[in-house]
Amino acid sequence: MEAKVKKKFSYETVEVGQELGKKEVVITDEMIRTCAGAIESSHPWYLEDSPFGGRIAPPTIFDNDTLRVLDENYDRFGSVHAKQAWEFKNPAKVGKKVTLTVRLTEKYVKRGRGWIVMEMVAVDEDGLEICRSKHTSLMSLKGGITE
Amino acid sequence: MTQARKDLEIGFGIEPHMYEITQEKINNYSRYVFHGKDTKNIHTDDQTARKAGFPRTVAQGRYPIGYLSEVMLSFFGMGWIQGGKLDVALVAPIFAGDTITIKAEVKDKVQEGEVTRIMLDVWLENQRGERVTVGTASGIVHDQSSGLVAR
Repeated sequence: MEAKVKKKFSYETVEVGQELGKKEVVITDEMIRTCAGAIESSHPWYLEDSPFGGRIAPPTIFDNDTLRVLDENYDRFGSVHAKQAWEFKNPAKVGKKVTLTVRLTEKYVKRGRGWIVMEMVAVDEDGLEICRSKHTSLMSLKGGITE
Repeated sequence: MTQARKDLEIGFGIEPHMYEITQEKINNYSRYVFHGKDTKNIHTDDQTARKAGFPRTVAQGRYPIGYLSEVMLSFFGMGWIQGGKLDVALVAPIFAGDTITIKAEVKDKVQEGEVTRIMLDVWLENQRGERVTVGTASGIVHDQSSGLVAR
């Protein structure tokens, strides 16, 4: 399969309004444990059982995959996470397949620098909306991958 | 820890939660982000961080947001998973070696049909008392009679 050619990540080249892509994620035990471990959580709903019927994932678990969709489209190198909004609607249960739809919804210049806003909606295999997020980044930095 | 209740007064502060942001934890979070791989970036490498204009390595922006969500989960319980909202600005970097404290205060209570939404001001302070992340969070408290629907 031919590798997707990534676009240059600059204020001029990012296209607002387009759907960046969809990503299917199956919530595995390993994903839950790794995510919970990274934020030092041993919450029993993640590791044992929850009132929702079975284990659930930490609600912020889809942040990585959201950025990955951006990185599949653009050659991103150096951006700063500036704002984050979440709405949690339903639990992401272990074993469920969840589809993330990611869009670039806004770009603007503030204090002479470019900013982008990316929105994600996560829906599980039963059509249940799990969460949505809004991620705002400052685009440029002198060097280094930041997120 | 105090649980979210309708009768909490405006201005009530939930118990602060403190986290040490060590380089090891930042590296661990970076491995989580990069699927187990060790990478060299402004979070994991001092030289790269200095090239980018920072005095030393900085924590990933969304890493402490994960902590904040955990504190909200402890406070709201199911009303965080089904109805939680968070909106924060990362106003200053968090450096390796910093200690952050998560604080939150009830600022409003809004009736939404049969449930009450408890709204909080939330912020993360570093060890010098500087606010590094600021914003709002809210979650749902169900009336005793309405119960929760676990789907």
